[in-house]
Amino acid sequence: MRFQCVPCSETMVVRQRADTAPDNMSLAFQCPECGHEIVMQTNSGETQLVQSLGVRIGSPKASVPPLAGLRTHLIEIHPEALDEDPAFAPHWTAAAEARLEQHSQFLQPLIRKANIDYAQRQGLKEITPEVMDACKRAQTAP
Amino acid sequence: MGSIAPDGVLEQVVAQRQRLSRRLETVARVVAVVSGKGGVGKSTLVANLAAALAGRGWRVGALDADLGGPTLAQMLGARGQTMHLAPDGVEAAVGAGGVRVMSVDLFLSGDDSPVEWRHPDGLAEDAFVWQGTMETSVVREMAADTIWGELDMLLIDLPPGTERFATFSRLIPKMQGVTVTIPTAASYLVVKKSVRHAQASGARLVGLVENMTGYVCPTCEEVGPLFAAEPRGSRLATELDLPFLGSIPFDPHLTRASNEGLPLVLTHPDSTAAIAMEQTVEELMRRLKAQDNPA
Repeated sequence: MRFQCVPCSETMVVRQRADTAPDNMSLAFQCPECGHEIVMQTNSGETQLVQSLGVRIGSPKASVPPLAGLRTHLIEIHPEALDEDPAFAPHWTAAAEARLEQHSQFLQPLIRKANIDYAQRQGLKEITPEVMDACKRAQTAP
Repeated sequence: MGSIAPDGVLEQVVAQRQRLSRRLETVARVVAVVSGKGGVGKSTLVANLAAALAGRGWRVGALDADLGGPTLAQMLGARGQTMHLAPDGVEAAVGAGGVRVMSVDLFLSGDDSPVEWRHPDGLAEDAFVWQGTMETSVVREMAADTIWGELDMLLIDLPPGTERFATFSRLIPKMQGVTVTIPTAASYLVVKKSVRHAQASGARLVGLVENMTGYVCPTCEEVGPLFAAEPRGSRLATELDLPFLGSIPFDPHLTRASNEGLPLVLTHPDSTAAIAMEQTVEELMRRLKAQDNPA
């Protein structure tokens, strides 16, 4: 949807935005030619309809956290359903730790992070030498 | 007031689709268990298919898309688990046979907590306008944001409804369906409509399963009639131009096993119903492998 200034035939641009309530917002549009302004105000029903698509209004540039829609829309969530402990990391087996230590002190943190990211993407709770091999293959794959 | 970037609704919708496609790159096959009719045993079938496939060494995930009546976590013994929230997604719960499970039930506060959605103040009466869209969006999100890892098959338990399979097969890449009926005129009627709807929309069905084709006596294992009508799922499949995957009788052990969170194929592998489930799995695998290696 776009708004056009009738006298100038120019497409109006968004100039300002305000969140007037949790489910509402106002957008000020301005004609770049003559400066004429209009304000569009959403209502809760319209905003809800768009949000039902899983679309975020107002901050689309921000990264969307996992299951944001479910966690936003579900009225009550069990407090222990999700473990948000940032310290969580897959367990490293002794053999994997030994393999890691063969690398230089400089490289070790980078390799550790790459393997943790790979294990989490694959849903693995343990990092073994075989997982490290798979991670390396995934990184070097064309 | 502050300046903003355009909301980019279309871009966000496209990004959601791309996120789902990326997530499913490590999933070899996506099979939804569907039926136009409710109460035909879809969830029980999903739980048992998942466990039977896992028993053959397949890496299996199970997504409960029935938001109104989520039962899959119970049937696979995955309730009450805490799932890890990582930056890239949520780890699936682990159910019977190592099956990875995602269900809205895993997020509910208690046994008697219904699935209730938040509405803007004063607009609860108009929820019908957006609730269907939101629920479809939540299922898409659960498929996209669960860390499934490498899977040989992701099974999806779809809610009943004639148009559901067609709708979700547009939403979820790679998805094929197994349709389920029971031997009643009402079920045949609705299943026919849903299959025709799916076929007209280009959705892919692997085959048809007839459930509750008899009653297995818990003492003598004899199979007697459960419904008045003679099972004719095989004929229905032919009529609908679908492969027939199998007939499964009702066994009281099924409900007991579901109550305990263990599929029948694990608790009573030698029972008549479990053997029928295993045969159905064999036929399903044969059909899927034939797709992978067409003659």
